[in-house]
Amino acid sequence: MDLDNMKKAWNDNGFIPAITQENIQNIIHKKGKTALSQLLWFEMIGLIIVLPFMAAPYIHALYFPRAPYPEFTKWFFMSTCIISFFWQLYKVKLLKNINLKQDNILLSLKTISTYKLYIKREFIVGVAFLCIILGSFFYGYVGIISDQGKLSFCIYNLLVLVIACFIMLVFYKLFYKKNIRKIESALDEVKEMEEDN
Amino acid sequence: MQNKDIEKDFMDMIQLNERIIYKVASFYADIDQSINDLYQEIILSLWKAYPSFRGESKPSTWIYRIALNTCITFFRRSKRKPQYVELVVDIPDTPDNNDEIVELYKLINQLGKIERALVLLYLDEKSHKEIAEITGLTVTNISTKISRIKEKLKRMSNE
Repeated sequence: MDLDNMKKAWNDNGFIPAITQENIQNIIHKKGKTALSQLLWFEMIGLIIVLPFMAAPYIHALYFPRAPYPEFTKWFFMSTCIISFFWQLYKVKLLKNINLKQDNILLSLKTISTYKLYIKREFIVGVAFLCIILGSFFYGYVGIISDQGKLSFCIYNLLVLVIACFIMLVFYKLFYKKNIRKIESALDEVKEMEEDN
Repeated sequence: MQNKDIEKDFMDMIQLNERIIYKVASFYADIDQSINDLYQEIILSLWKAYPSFRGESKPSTWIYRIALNTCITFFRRSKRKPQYVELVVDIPDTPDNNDEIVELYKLINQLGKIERALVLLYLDEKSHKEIAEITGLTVTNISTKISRIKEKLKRMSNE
């Protein structure tokens, strides 16, 4: 295959899909947001709702006064909300930096690949945080359970944790590992191009 | 200028440069993103950017930049949204009138995203200065990269 020989055929290629003005009107009127704006919107929603979530332990205590969040769980949960808020803020800023009109493709690819990599890892970190929150919540109640029930309670929780970790690992291998590799190879391409520049 | 006039100008520009949109979309279409989705996404991105188009660069260069950026950054967290409209026109995955071009389309997915853009711009006989502007690579680096890609494609087609 020779790209130089192909140039003529490429430019002679008479195929034109012939989109009609009606088609164009349909696209620009029926579909309001671009995929990028949609993504930004999604992250903005996350940013807005994450802080009010800090009130969850207090609301929980109102409805379940006999089973409030243990102290560690409460502070861990609230710290997670604060960290998530700044994390969301960072992602929003990252996406806002993408300017389709002005950025060169090297920059766009670098930004979007970084974002994609972050959200793949975010899922894994999110599940780990959830395990800690649930684990610490149940562990906080070990003290009030009778000695007879303590062992079965611990075994039950350990089992839940092991199953959760197993499911997480399977998910990671099936859906994430391959995708992460693909994203990393895009970032490698950017790095290589930048180094040669 | 009234909204209707802007819309008319935009549609004329799209129809005039439709070939670019089709080629960029077909170069980046894969299992995750269909040519139809990319095609519509490019038109929508161009429409959103159109009010700020001052004609400082050639319309084709402006379209190339936005179309390539759109395909490179195209990513949907939700597979269901956004919904794309049904197009009456059928967009084929590859133009099948030339054996070498068909082969190129078969190999294109094995190239990196920037490499694909370089092939596309090179085949469309864009100047090195324009390619540099769109890709962010230096003019001197472009020749080197294109030579490497040519070698890579030759090797891939012989395998």
